Amino acid sequence: MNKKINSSDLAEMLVENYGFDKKLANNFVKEFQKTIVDGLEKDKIVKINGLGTFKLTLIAERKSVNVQTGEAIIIPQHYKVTFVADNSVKTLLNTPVTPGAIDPLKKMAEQANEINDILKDFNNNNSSDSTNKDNTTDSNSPKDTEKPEDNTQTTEQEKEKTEEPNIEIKNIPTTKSYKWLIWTSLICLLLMIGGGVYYLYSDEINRFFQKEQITEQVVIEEPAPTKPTEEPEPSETSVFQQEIDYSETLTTETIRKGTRLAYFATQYYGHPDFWIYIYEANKDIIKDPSNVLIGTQIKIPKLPAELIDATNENAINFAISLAEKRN
Amino acid sequence: MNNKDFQKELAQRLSLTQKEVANYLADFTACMAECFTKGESITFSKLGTLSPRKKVARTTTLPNSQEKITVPEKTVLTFKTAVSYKEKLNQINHE
Repeated sequence: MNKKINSSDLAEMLVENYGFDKKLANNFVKEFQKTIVDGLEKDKIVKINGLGTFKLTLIAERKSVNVQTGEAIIIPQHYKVTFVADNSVKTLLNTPVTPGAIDPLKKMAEQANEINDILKDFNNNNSSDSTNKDNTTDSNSPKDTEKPEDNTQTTEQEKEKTEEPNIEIKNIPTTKSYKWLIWTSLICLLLMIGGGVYYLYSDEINRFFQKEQITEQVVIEEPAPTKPTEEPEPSETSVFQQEIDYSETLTTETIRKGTRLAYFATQYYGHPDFWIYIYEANKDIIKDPSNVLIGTQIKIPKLPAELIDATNENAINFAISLAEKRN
Repeated sequence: MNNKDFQKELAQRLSLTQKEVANYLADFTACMAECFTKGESITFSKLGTLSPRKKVARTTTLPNSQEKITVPEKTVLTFKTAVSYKEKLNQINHE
């Protein structure tokens, strides 16, 4: 259970499971520990994501007693390496609640994979005789029995499993081919029906699409003439063209530390880009809108609702363009 | 030395780019984590041994309410410094 792995084993694993270059893997493991050692010496702490943190801590000198002679001794101050595992590793270690119970499951999965491979081989060599098949399974089964040394139960299961595939082999490929036939024929049928429908009704379909285009054009044309008739005075275009009236004020505010014009704009108008109106109303007091002196009293102008509609893109764009003009 | 510094240093020593090293390091740590989950301990001869250790479930009483609670079993990753490295560390201090 408690197998020990040294650095060369680790390098081998990297080569086999992660496709490392052999030379690189050896070098990597070697330099990995070297850099940790050197890093500890330099900074007294090395953090590695996915593994944990190594730390050098200084242990102060303390009095102790020699256990064998009873002599009082002083343990000199020294460094000690402490290690705290990364959270990801901690959770990984604790996710399988009982590791013993999951191991056989993994073994089963491995066996299933092996059987799958064997099945594939059989499918490839379908032309060969059935006697050959029996021979190959026999040669495979002793290999399987060697692998799990601990529990004999699983080996028995394996034997049962290796015998099963002989029966299944003949069924699987045939059902698969049937499924393919059905699917392809269905798709062909659908395509034929679609083509036929299109051929028969192509004229009507074309007319339908043309109609839609016409209706769309109509929709686009409609809004322009209706709007001015409905609301002649405060319509959007007129508001933007009009000279903005800053005479009416909602309230007055004093600039505090950390407040900007954009802050008041969001508070009163609902969007930071409307700060330009506040600046325009207080032009005589404020010289630089991006750097207002603390303590200055500013007026928040009362504006028509269309102008400060935060949901309307036009209003926002208008405010931005105004601000750009001032610059 | 944080993770980035570590990667930089490793990249320099292996004469690889930092990005490559980051990828390799991710694989490397994944490989080690896999070993730990299998209950295997890893020994670096110059550094020490990292080994997963099982902590058995136990019952404790809360000191403020005298309530008995069970702490579930868990595995922790422990580190033991290699003897050679320990001696090296002691030497540093004496100098």
